[in-house]
Amino acid sequence: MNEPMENEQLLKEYFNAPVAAPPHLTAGTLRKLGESQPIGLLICATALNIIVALTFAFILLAGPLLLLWKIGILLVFALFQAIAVALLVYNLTANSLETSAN
Amino acid sequence: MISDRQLIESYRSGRQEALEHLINRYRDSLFRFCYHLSLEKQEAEDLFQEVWVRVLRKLEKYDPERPFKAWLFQVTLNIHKDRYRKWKKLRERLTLAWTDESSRFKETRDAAPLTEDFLMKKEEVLNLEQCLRTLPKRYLAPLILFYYEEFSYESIGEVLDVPLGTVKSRLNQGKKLLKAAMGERGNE
Repeated sequence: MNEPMENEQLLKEYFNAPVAAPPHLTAGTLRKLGESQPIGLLICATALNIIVALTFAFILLAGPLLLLWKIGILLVFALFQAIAVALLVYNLTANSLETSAN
Repeated sequence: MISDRQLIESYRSGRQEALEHLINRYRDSLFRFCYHLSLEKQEAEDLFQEVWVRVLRKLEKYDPERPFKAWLFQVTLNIHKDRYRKWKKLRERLTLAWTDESSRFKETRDAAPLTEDFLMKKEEVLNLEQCLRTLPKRYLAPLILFYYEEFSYESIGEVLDVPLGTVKSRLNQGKKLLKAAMGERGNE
């Protein structure tokens, strides 16, 4: 007769007993969140950038400017691209270093 | 005390520490839910971390009018269902001989004193966990939420995304099945 009551009590105790979360759980979660960079987005941005750069180079080379000007403009464009990539890599490595330090 | 909504808005505006605060706030309750769903500590830890990755990805879609905890538990349940489905498929494909003996052995090794009461309690809990493992998954989550005593029937329905009537029938059926399983194990 008492068995259902005992079962009910056991269930209540079991589900309401504290379950000790590992002490590293929050730090581990934050690290995982830091590692999960939007890689897909980064690949899409890179692909789009390559397409834009090639189209720009094609239009510029086909245009009526002097060759020297064309090369100059392309070099400036390439310089901006290099700076953008350097900033991006710096930003990503800084983020991952920060999360691993935590 | 800062509300969940304020913390989320703060994180959205770029304050990383708000996220840490939010994770810490739900650390114990969410880990307990993960553990009761998976019944394995390591699995619960993985699930916990995956939940926060998904939460951050879906944060834009979160409706601040809804209680954050209910949404968090709903995300947890969905991920657990996905993981369980994948695990089931893998198990079927590999047709592994599955035995809980080794994990049971690990769980009984404990630094706590081995008094008779302690061992009996431990055995009771192990029996209960075995019964919970045999319970069909659709009945497990409503039972867990029901026994937490902090979720109303309406909140359970919101977490499970089912109507109130379904919550009640699943709870009744789940309790019946669980009690029958416990009775069977008790008679063994």
